Amino acid sequence: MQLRRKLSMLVAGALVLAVPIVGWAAHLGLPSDTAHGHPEGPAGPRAAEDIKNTLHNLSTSNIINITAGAPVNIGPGTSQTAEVCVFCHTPHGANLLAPGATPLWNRTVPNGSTVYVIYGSPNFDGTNSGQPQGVSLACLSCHDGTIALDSLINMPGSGGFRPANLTPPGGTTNLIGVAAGSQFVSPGTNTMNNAIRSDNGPNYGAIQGGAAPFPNLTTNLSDDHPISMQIPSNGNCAAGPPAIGCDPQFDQLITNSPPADLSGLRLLTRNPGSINADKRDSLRSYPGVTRTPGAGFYIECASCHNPHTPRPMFLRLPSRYDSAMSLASGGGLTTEAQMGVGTGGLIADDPNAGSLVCLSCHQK
Amino acid sequence: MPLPAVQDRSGGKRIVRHLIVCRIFRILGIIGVLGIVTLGSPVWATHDVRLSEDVSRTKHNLSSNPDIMATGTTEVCIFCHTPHGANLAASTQAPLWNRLLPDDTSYEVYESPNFDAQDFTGIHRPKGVSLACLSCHDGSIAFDALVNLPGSGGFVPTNLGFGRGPGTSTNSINFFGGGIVDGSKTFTEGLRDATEVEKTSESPFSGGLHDLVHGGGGSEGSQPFPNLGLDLRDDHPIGMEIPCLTDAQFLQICQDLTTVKLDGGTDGASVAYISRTSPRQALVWPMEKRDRLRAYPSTDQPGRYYIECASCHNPHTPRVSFLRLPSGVPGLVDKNLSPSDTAGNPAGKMWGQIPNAGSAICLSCHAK
Repeated sequence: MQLRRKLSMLVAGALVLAVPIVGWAAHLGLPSDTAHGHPEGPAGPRAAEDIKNTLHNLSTSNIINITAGAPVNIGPGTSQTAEVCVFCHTPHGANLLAPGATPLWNRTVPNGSTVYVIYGSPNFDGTNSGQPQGVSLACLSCHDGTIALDSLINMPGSGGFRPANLTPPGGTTNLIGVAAGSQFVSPGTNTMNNAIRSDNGPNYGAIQGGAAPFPNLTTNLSDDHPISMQIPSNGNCAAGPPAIGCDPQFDQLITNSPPADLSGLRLLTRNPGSINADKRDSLRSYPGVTRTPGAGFYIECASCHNPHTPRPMFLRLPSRYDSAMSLASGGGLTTEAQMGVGTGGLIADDPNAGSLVCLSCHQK
Repeated sequence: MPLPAVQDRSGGKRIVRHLIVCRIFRILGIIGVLGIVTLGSPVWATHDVRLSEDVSRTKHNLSSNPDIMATGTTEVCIFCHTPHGANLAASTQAPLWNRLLPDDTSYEVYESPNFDAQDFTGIHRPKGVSLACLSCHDGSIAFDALVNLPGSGGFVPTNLGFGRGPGTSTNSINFFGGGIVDGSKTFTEGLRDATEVEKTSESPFSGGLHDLVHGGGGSEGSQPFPNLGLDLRDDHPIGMEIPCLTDAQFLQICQDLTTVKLDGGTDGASVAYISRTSPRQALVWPMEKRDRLRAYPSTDQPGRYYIECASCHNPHTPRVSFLRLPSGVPGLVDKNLSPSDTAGNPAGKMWGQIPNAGSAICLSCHAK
């Protein structure tokens, strides 16, 4: 026992000493050791994006369980096509009703047709927190439960252009057939139903696994994290006095996130040393689309979620993940081992270990 | 019947090992921090430990608090908040709340012949954010009575809304701390038996994780306050409207509660900040709003403001007793204390270390 204790102390000490050195190396742009799964290192067994192996593959090609290799029915009903992308995107004739961030969208978009109950709180400083905009409308075009999963504009193959579905509420194209009693899809309307999903498994975002009740958020978004909200900070809110739209917990985020790229996308991090090299894994904010075009940075569904990733809960990876930062403020809680994703695990397999996705933005 | 804190053998070993490891971490951590500062580092490397909010390093991190030691998840936020499917029973004053909320009729509430607090309901029941606090701190609801468990597929609709009793405890989370978690996974009833180590360790981090910062054994005791019980008669009233019209001692804080101090939000129902000094000056008024004492708006009666648990306490702060900072009182600002956490002073003490020095928190509201 004594020996074991000494050993564990030695290991802990070595880890702690190694952390600032690695952090320093990263700060100087030197290659860093990836033994602890630094986000710039190997991202685990899953690619950042691999749509075919996710619950978002609604096609008949989705018959392989990537974990066990056994055929599974993921639930949205029996699909009439083996195409994967077509349920969201089309190469021609896309929906332009929701401008920006709904790339080549092949679905009816609930823009103006649906009035959502939005989040509010006495503590909430988000501005322009009106109705959902941009990429969030793309997500909600399935996930609010009002539009058919197969309310497509351009059907697979030729001769299947459905202009009626360019405008809400759209309607089913019978591209999926739904059996009575389906857990996910309402027969007849082919919209997501309100049923509670009870199955679960190790690969939650991937094929297999439940996410009740979140596939169908409904049009009441007040029990969900706000979206289409401008990040409420000018980088110096702690200096006060308190002002509308100024919350000091986001000062680090605004100060340390890199500038927007040419498309207007701004990757998010509280720690300039920990931005993910693969931007698809990075938490991000979107330019204002409908309310303040070209100005401000907005949190949308896709700020945290990547609809194409096979990672758990379709999550992007945390950007706060940086041991040096935590050490600097007195603790040291954010190596993967300390977050409990050790023993062969990687942050890519458990992106919100230690609530790191949350803490990537919130200085709480 | 108060139960003594019992430490089983494995728990004892865990604490001892934890203690030793923490001391090592502490020493090497200091070396590490010095290394970072010397060699170049992120902007906040030199930040004071006492950030306004840093919940990972407080006793409210149930995954790290040695007295609770949740296992089955490493997540911190999940014990109170969820990004989707939150409990809306107490309105959004309990932001994205992930726990069963207690029935507000369960409590015996504060009374006094001197008590002037108004309440449009006529019954001074806990409201809003206070119900969120009480969803752990009344000792009736299990720590793991969560609505949305970590990961997917763990939605527990029976923990939505209000309820009495422990709620639906979830098998995926267990607690291995000693002394304060009972068989129903709620706070143990009765007083907490802080050990001698805890009692004698001087630490400015009573709200913070004593072990991680100072290498003590167990987090500091704060009997009997972790478990307030259902009898709130021995506690400062909550869910009480500030009696602006009936008690002259509050005239100062009521002067411009609804005009100057409104903060943010587009929903028209925002937190207001409390100060007796008018006009307020930077020296007597924390600039960081998370440090400010606050009043909560009524969700039913626009323009009415309430004192709730979170008026004085910030559940995310590593400061002493989870306290916000005083808003400053004339005559009290020269006690060798700086009202600003970032400003030093000759005595080496800051409000951030002793928020209630001179009873400044109490006197921030009460003209007494």
